[in-house]
Amino acid sequence: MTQPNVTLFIQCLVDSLSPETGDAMVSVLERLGVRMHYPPDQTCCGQPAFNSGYRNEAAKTARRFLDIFENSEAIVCPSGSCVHMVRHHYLELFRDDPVLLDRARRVGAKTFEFTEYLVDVLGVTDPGTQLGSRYDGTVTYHDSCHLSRGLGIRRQPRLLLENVPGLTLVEMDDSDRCCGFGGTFSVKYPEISTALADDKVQTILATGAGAVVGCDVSCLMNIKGRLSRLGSHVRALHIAEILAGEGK
Amino acid sequence: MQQNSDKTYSELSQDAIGDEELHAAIRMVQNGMGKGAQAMWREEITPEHRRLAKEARLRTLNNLDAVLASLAEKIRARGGHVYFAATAEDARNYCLEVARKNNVRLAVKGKSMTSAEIGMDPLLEENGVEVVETDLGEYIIQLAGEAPSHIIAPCIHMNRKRIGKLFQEKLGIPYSEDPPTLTRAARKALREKLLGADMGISGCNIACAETGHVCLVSNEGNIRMCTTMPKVHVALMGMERVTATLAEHDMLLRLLTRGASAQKVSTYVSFMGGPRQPGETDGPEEFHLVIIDNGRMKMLADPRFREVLSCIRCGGCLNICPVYGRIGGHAYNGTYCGPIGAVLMPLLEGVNKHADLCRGESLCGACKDICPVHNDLPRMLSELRYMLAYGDEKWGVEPVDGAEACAFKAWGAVMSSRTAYDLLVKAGRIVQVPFVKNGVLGKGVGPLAKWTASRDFPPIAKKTFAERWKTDHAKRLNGADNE
Amino acid sequence: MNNEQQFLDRIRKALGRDQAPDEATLFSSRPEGELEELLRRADRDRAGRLELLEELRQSAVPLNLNVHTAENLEEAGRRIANLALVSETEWGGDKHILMHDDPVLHGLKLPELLAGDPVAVDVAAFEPGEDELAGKQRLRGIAERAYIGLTGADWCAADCAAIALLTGPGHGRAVSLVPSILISVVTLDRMVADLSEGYAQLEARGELPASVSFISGPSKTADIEGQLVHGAHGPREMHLFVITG
Repeated sequence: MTQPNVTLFIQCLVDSLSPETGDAMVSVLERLGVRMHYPPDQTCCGQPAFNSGYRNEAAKTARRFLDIFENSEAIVCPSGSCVHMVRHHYLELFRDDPVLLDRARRVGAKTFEFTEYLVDVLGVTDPGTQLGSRYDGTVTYHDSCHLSRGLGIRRQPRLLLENVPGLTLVEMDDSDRCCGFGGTFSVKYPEISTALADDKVQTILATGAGAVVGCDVSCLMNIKGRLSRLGSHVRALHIAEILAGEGK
Repeated sequence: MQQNSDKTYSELSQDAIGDEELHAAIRMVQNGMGKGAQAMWREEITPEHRRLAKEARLRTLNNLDAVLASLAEKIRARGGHVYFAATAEDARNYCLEVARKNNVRLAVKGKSMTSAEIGMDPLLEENGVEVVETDLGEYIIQLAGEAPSHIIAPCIHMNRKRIGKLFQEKLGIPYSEDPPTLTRAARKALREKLLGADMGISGCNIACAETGHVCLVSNEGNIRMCTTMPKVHVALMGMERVTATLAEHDMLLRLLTRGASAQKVSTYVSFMGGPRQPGETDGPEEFHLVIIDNGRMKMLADPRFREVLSCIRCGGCLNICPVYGRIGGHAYNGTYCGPIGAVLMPLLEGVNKHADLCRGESLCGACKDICPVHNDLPRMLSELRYMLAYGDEKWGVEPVDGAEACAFKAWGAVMSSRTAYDLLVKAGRIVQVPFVKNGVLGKGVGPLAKWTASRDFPPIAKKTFAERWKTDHAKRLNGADNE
Repeated sequence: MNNEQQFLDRIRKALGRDQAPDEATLFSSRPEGELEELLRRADRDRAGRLELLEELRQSAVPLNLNVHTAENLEEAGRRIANLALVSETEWGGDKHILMHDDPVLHGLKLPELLAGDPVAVDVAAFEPGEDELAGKQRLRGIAERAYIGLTGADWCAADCAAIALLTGPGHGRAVSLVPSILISVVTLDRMVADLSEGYAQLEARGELPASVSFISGPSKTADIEGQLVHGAHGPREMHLFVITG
């Protein structure tokens, strides 16, 4: 089988605030023999602007994304919300432009969220042997909105976590209830956002797990930010960090 | 009672967030009804059923003229009256006319949000008609002088102690907090009104055009009472609350009762298509159907928003929304609350007026997921935000926040250039230094201050991923490209 | 009529259409053969109907609906007469049963069975030659005093325990609504599986009367703190007698 080629899309939040997530993803793909490319010009998928209604600015950023990524074999990103933006909202952004719409469709078809790529494309079923993953402890898993309801990705992260040696996965109540991030909502309506974060924190703490795992750094930032402000020692980890065996 | 607080969405939300009792009450409804509905979608209703139901809704909307014509024709054939009201004023004036012609002193109401939308009650009351809500929840809030906080469970924000005191005060019964006792007291008080009323007013859940019936669902029996015993029955119907065929009605009814209260069917389903017919022993002598536009025509005409008229008002979206779950119904400051209210109120009353409703939720998508007809409310909220960003001529929308627009213009420029982006990151690393303690930002400035008021924020990393790629990964991975 | 035309014209304008649409497809949304299939399925043999009866018993439990079976009308009549004797009035006064003018209900022979007892049985029908409005007033007075309303049922859906009542002469609405207790009698051959089969029965009739009601148990509410209470504004107690013979 020919070596798979992956172009990394490391979105703005990971790039500037949580680069270790990117490092972990690279580490995992490396162990699978994936050939990686990284366009250094990349910046953002345009979601923050789109979410706030500024579609002109979002479209400009999106066109740039298409220019940079459209010749890739596969684009992999450690974020459900960015992939959802590309696959779904790009079609809304370009609905009046058949040429851009077509380009967006083709790029969307080969843009994958990280766990989706591992399980559905590379067929990873056993992180222990295939990736050398190991994590000693109990974790719970947060289904982010765009990933679960938007992209239908729920099974893949769980499949991976359940098969990491040493790891015990405990489901929280309402695992797919919104954590309250919602993009600029988190700073425009901070009290509501925090109330939702508090509800999420309650369900996490109720599991007794030492860590909450997710596939979206935006959610994790929000949850982690509230956990730490409340003085909790529960960690918030991206699944890449667990799989890269660095979450001990 | 119309919502009319001077407080902002954020202020009202904060009031609700601090109310632990309200939180517990809504959580109970969401756990019971919301999760109940989801379980029914998983276990009893097929995706195909919901897809066909959505198709039926859209087909009705796309042929609404023919559907309403059929409904009107069949009702008139039985001796009923049908009035098409362009505005709220037209609709309530018609109701007043009917009341006057029939010397109505007492009118009883089955639950109707549409009646609140058109402001009917105050007009009747100003003209000497006593108007009594008969749905227990609506009756309670009417006695209390409050507004409903949920489409299906209007007084969920009031606990039994409050209701006990209210009944003691207003009904003169000894104080009790026992729901069966309180319900019995209301049953007795309302029976008198129901049997003594001159006019009954109802809404309409879903009318059936091919058979010519308005259809109402209830569990209490008050709607049957209101529409059977008084001499006159007036049914108020938003123009979209109809379906073409009986077969479609079957499909939609089964979704309505499950979405509303996780039931296979409500205790009562009543089809009414006209007054008492010759030979029948009871029923109103006069039947009036008021079909209402009041802004729906404009939604129908706009392909971005036509879909919102598919709503069958089951309240399912309220029962799953995490935002509604914390802020309650009063924060929406309008007749309709919850996710459906967040789209309808701006379109009915003004997008700028209700800008907070367009922007004040996380777009988590749970509402679309639970909606029996997959109404894409997040998409429409996104369209409303688009209108608020740059303005919209068709709907008379002004851009909502000049400073934010500038900020995003600047953001757009930064994201267009990796060099600009890197500069901003470098600048950020310097600016953040005084704010970083124990590895986190505990305090911030500008929008960040809003975050850090309640949450810690990660500092900008010493090296971005891009920088690490250049210095570590690219070198390590033999033959890796740096395009 | 005028404002209807204007209204419909505005709808057409909103939809970007000049003419009325093609109604043939609009009003025939059922897939080919679906109605026939539902009617065929509802036409079960006795064994099938007895199975549905068992399902009905299950569905009725959480609804607080009392399901009784009787071999024949004689047995049902005796049991209903007993029920009438032991039931109390809610609002005081004499005991009045108000019944629909229905051959099945006449077959119960309640006036005979209760002849020596302080329970009056009235039929909710106009007397021959009676002025309709006067008759309506008279019957309303009886309905308001009645403690038991007695109806038949056009069909009964087992999976949700709902009966259907179609209005007509001698089949008014108040009987199943105003008295405190509702007793309905349905024969086994009218048992259907679910609402879809029930709707098909309605569709097969052609024209429907001015009013149709589905009823599935006594009235209830959960408006106070979400606590379920049986007995709101409609009947607070309901009994369904299924005649199996």
